[in-house]
Amino acid sequence: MTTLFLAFRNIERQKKRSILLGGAIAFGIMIITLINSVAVGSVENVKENFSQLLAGHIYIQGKELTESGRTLKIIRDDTLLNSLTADLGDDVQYITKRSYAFCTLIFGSKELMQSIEGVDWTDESYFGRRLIITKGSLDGLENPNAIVLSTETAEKLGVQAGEALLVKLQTVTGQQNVGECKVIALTQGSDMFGSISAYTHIEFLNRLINLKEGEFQMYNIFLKDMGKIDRSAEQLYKALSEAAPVVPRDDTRGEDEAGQQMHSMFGMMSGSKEEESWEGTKYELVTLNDMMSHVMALVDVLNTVIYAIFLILLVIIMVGITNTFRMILVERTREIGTIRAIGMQKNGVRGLFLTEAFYIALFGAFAGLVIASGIAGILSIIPFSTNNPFFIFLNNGKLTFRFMPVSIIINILVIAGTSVLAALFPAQKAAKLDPAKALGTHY
Amino acid sequence: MRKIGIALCICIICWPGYTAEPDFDAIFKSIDSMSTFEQNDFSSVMTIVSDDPEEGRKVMKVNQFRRDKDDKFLILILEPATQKGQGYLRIEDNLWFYDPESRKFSHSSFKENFQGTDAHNSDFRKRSYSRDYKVASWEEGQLGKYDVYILNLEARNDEVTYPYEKLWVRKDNNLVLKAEDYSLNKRHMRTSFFPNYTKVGDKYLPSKMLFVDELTEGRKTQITMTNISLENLQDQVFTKMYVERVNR
Repeated sequence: MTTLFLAFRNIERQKKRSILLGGAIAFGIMIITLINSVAVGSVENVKENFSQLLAGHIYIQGKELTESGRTLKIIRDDTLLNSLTADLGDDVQYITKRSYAFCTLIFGSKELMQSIEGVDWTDESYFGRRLIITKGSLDGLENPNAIVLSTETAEKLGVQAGEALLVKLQTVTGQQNVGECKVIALTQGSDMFGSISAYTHIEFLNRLINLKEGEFQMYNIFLKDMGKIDRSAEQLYKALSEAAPVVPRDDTRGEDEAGQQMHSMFGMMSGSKEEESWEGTKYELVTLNDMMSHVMALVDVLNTVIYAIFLILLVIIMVGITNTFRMILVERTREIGTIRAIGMQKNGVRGLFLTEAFYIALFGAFAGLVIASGIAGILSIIPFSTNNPFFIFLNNGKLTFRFMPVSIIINILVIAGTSVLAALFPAQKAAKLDPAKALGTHY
Repeated sequence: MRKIGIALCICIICWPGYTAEPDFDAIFKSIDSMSTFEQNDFSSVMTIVSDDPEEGRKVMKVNQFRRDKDDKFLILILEPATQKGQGYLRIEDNLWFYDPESRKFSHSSFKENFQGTDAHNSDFRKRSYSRDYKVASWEEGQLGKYDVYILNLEARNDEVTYPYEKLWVRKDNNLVLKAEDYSLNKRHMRTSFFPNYTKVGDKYLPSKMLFVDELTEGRKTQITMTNISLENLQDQVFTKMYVERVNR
């Protein structure tokens, strides 16, 4: 108890020095905490954004092989998928069925290429509620040719809500087709779903890409818990592979495949030649986690870099602490002699030094956490433009910081441990001082 | 009864408004043979002028090499300087796009527009009306000073880029003067004009082509062909290595 009190008093006695030393530790903790939390928050945002953008967590595409050897992306009958998905039980929140195409939107002399999705607005009423409408209204969905555009797309085309535009695209077999749509609503620019894709009725898009009523291209499953994606996908894949031809999971999980999957899901690839042949519909199951492999690799690299920087900071802090405590040793030689003379043992002196180092590390870490929280709080309310390549990492245009308690505790323990380790050498030296010589020392 | 039938046939044939149905197979074969080079290789320099109301006028010069008997072609961009060295190489069913900046080949599609113009990549490969289309209806007409057959075509399969096409074919030599391309829902998408032909060997080749986008106001592309040759080309021309080397 005396040691704890004396250590605290010593820190208070040398406020400036303690603050500088603690400041260095605070800076290290602040940086590592901020970057860790923004990395975790960004991954969460990317997953959330993609699950909304792709309308699910598990995606199943159907492929048919034509006589000429081309593959058509089409699911004609959902009976099998519905029954297999039902086996997932309560894990499933809801299912969506969509069609996709990559189209050219034409208004007067202006053209814009982008993806278009066919949505069943009745089944996906929640999706309509998520879109932030700035002009027009989703009441216009009663129009069978209705289309919803982002404000950004509408500005580029110079089109207003209520006006008609042309959609040029290819059918599933690669034929040219054109449709006339009525713009019923514009979505907010910061709403990333609207700016990536345009949305129309699935029946309308199906007619344009030459699918029949009830047919679709993508069967998407939303799970209640994103943590169960891999488990549910494996269960579904196993059941699917027993009932129909499937694309091996290994072919869809590689990092190189992720980009292709993304292109494919936005209708940018169609009618490609296939090497092998099969009968009926061949299913391809992809999960959100498969497509996140690029992002996760990026986060891993970021974390490695951050921990390398943290390591360098730790070394600098250790050198600083060792030097400071060597100075303290010199300054307090007579004092150490006195406390040894009045009965303090070697262990007590060592403990005093180490406790001081531990306190400084603890106070510094606490201060670093407080500063990190403050900065995170400020940064998370600043809106960023979604018109940049990093919008996918944002939550409605804002950064998200997710503090991970376990990670924070580990970081604090590491910094406290290294601080104590750095003070160990001067502490040993102080403990070994001869009380008589120490009392007689003059500087 | 037989006599009555024969008499009726004679009456119909001799009726002033009656015209015997042309031999469409022969017309298609003639059109296909004009645009196909099975015996020789083909090369030319094409100047592509595209007008876009938003982006203005762009001029591009490309070198085109074709070997139809092997279904191969190569298009190398010569101008503008910023795109020089870019190329499209067809090997079997694959169409590769080469970018000299990255020195990489990437997959392209025949159904994509060529460099943002109104010409499709498929416009530079051999076509087969005999294989892809059948005549749904026809009539006679006049285009400029030429007597023409106006043929309304329907695709024979669902993989042809334009499911419906309308052709204005000269009666005397089966040269296509004009073509209209329609979408699956029969919307007029593109009009092509072939006002000039050049005789090379025993073939007539369109030396000038005009493609008008009927969906986007004011967009059109004009292609002029010069330096046309039917001389045989070296095998290595149709290789990735050649495309890379020619850019060094």
